[in-house]
Amino acid sequence: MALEKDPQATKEELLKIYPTKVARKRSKQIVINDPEVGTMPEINANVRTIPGIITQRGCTYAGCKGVVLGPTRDILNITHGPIGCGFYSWLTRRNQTRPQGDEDYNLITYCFSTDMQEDDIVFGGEKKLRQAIQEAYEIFKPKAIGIFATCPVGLIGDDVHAVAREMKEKLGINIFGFSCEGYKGVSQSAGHHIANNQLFKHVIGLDDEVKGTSKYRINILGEYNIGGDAFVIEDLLEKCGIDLIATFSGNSSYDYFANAHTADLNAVMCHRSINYVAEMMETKYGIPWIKVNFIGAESTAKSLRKIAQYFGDPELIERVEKVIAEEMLEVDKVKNEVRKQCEGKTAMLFVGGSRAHHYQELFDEMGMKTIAAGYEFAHRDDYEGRRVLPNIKIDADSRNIEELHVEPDPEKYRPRKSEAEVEALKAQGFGFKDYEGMMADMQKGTLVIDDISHYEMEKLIEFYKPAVFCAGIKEKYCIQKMGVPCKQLHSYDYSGPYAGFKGAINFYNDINRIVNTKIWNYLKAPWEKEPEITATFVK
Amino acid sequence: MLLRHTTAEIKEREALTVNPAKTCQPIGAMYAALGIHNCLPHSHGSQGCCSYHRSTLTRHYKEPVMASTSSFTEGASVFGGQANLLEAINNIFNIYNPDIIAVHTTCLSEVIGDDIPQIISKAIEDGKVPAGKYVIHCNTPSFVGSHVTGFANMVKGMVKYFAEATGEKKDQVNIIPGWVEPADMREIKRIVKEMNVKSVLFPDTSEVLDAPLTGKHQFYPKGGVTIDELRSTGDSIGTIALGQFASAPAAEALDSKCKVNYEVLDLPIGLLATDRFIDSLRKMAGVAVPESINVERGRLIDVISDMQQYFYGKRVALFGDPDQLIALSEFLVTLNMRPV
Repeated sequence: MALEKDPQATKEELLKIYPTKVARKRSKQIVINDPEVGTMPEINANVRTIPGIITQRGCTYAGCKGVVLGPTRDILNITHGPIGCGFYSWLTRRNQTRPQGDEDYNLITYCFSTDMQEDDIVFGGEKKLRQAIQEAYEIFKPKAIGIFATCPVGLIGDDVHAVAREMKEKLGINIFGFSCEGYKGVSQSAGHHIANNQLFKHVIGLDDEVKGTSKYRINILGEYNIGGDAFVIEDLLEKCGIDLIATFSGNSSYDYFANAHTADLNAVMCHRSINYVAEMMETKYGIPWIKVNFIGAESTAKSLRKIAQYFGDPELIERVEKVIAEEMLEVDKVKNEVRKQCEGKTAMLFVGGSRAHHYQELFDEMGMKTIAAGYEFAHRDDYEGRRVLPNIKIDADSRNIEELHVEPDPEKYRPRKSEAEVEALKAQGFGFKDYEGMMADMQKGTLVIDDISHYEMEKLIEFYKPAVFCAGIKEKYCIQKMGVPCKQLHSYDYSGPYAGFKGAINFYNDINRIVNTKIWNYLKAPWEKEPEITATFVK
Repeated sequence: MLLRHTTAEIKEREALTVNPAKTCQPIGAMYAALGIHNCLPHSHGSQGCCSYHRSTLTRHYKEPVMASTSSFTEGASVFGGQANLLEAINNIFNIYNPDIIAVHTTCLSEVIGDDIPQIISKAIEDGKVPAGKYVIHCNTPSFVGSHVTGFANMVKGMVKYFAEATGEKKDQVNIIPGWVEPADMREIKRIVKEMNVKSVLFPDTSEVLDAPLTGKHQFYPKGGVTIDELRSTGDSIGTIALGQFASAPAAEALDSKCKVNYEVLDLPIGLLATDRFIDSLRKMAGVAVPESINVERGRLIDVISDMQQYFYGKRVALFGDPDQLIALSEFLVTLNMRPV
């Protein structure tokens, strides 16, 4: 049973220990939710991390190379820097991939680095980088090479872009650099933006060939195939007869990215990490984007229906309904079983820039209440909805992240829907580039905390004793030491998939198991519970 | 096929590293610092470093790994990380209240040339370090050496900051266990205790990274070498440094600073290396080896001879850190196996 505690009192308790300056900052990042648009509180997000506070956040390199480019299997990714960055992003994320055959590229199992040494730092590393690219090309013959800058690179002035241009010319393959030094921005988020920019500049739009004959051609943006999520979505779309041109970037290939602009709709899963590409593709090619969510059975059904509604073809709409009806049979069966053991239990989610919102759907379906949630690196629009975008002030740290200036392509711009068609859809209640954010979906009085600190997390668990706490690996064992099960939502705790209908069933079962595992009841030994002193009289 | 692009013939590479067998220094410093009681390791650099290092250690141990970061932004990279570190120190003592913060650097703070001792002095001057508490440091640039170098540097830092020679010799031996598992550290302590020798093991991650689950998160677990113990190392009879790469630098520093003799031995992995460890220990501490140790040794000999036919001539491929591999190779040869 969850403990009841007044959210305002909780907030004050959380801030009590902080030095004044810290308390002032955190106070703006801990809000008590009100889902109504007029009264929804403003939350400070995407701001500098407080030194020493023990944050969940990582860096720009991680967001760029680890998150967005990591799931690609046929771009050879070279980390230009000391060995650590490359090492720590080597197979440390469960973005799965399925090459087409034994001969197809799969570079995901490899780690490539220039392993910069002191001499390279002192005298510059461009020569080594050039040589590394040459060696990579000769040995691996990749389609494309990506170069990722790390902290020292920006400081010593190595120009990865110049080297990329030079080697691209020399070797005749696509080579591009990413200025994703770790100190840029305030979190992984800056890295997403940089990755989006470079993919848009260097890859998307290179292959104009319209492949296949399907009438319904979409891209899925912001789906990284953790635990096989993308495989589930691919299967679903195939069942519905919808052609998936490219996924950014789970189970992806360079070729799909290059061809992505031949799709007619962009469906965005993770708003935070990929909204940039969605916006730019609309401006340049005329491809509209919509927010979808394949986490949760109901959301999956809604998303499929929305895609069908976009194309407006009764045949597709009917086919989608059939698929949904079929899949829901098993979903409902498991859901009703699991609800018996999970109804009313509480959950907290503090993770990522999207997951903390979308997984609440799954908990909801299971009858579990989300009483507190927050993102690691999201922006205000991910909390309060895209309507606040015009009001967001870009601070000093984020100002240096490049915003590409994009214009409609003179040849390739082709609005997929006419203005009249767009209006007609809007009149039906159809939303384009619509994301309402997390807070609109949470109950009044729940706690929303941005970039939660370790201290705040421990206090929350102490006060509320949730049945499950969702976070990442760095938090998992601290939480479990407190006697509360932790479900990792970055790595799925080595389980999944959790997307789509099949994924929802997996999630229901996994959470049921984690919440009702017996071991949590055995923490205290009998003699710890009743330490009476017994004695025997010995003659 | 997992590594389908690896070619059958070896192609020499000078610039491209593929599938590294090492990582960078800071994680070694973090692991070593966790072996100090009531200590919070602090990463002076970008957030990513701390996050990656904590994640790697926590994945392996399936335990909490607490560490803080200076969270450098672009501004700090240009103007220096002093403000970040000062703020971090202030916040850490206020919020997490360790007895000691062990700062290690990253390539970022090294390249911009942050003078950590100067910043620590300033922190103390500004009253950010409460009385009786400490901030120590080591320099761990990621473009030099490997993770083992970082471990060695942090242990050396412990000596530099704390070891004191008071002139009054103590009847104890220092043991630097090297980068080994908490279970190994516990075993070394057990053997030493079995031999009736008093020792200071530093660092000591036993009871830190293998703590029990009790329903309460012990932010600073029970284990770890104490500051008093670290101070006393300057008065010990001698130091046994296990592992040339991980432990020798600290032992040398201790000798330099406090005139404590030292012996560098291989990690006691395997029969002969363990023999040498026990032999050195008994000579240094002036004790006899108890029968119980002979019995343990005898049991090992028994198992090896029982299983001889399954080891003999078998070819072994080895992958790992030098201290471990040196001892392990010797052990394999002892078993008549062939490291190839």
